Amino acid sequence: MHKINIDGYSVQEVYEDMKQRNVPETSEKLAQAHVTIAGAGGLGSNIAIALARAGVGHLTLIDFDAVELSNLNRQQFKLSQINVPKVIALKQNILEFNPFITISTIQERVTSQNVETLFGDSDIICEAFDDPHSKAVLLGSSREIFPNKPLVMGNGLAGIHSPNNIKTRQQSENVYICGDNISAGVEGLMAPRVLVCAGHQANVILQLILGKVAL
Amino acid sequence: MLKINGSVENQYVGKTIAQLLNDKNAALENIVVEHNGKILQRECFVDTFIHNDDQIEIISFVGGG
Repeated sequence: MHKINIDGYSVQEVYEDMKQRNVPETSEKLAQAHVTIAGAGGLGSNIAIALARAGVGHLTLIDFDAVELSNLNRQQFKLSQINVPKVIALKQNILEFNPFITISTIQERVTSQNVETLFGDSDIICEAFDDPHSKAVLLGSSREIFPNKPLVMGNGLAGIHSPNNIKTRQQSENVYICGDNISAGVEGLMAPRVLVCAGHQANVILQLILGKVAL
Repeated sequence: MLKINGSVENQYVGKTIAQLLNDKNAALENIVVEHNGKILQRECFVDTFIHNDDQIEIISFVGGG
């Protein structure tokens, strides 16, 4: 009989030791949570990786794009993944460090018509688009359809301004917006501020899952 | 007292949301308007009048992600 193992470690060992340095008493809730991330670019790829490392059990990744060379300055992809659909590439990268997560991938553009279908089964909606109109559409339509489902958004993370201008704000009862609300992508997007904003979004998502938001 | 994004702006009482957005040069495609805590559908901008004591939030999105 073969002992089931992952690269020589028993499955149980990997599962337990991965969480060793996490905040205690968080695993169970995180493992049960389902977060849907709309956009798998600079924000989305970094948020997904942070949530997967923290032990969030179920992710749905939505993006219609494929990996391009111009993404590599801030998005979590590799040269070997150029032209691969972003959601597929991101899923591959996550499964390399966390084999216990379940990840669904959807290669579609989010419109007001498909919000109900795309986000119906998730506990939390994470907006990680590049395009400001798409951000506005998702806020408007998701509040109409799912007023009680938490929505975490990114807005303003461009340039090399102070990272301390990027904040998490509660916009309304179930809406959180992270960013400086001002700096736009046309001035250039650099990995550090993108990562700061992605970190804000991922952190408030963990807080929402664990039932205690502290801004 | 009419509040727009937290500031008192009584000069807009009696105007419509569409007039307010026009005055503010808002990029209509990239904004969401909350009127007294509820998101206002775009179609309603032209015939929603602003009253004294209203709370209006104009949420403007910028690109980048």
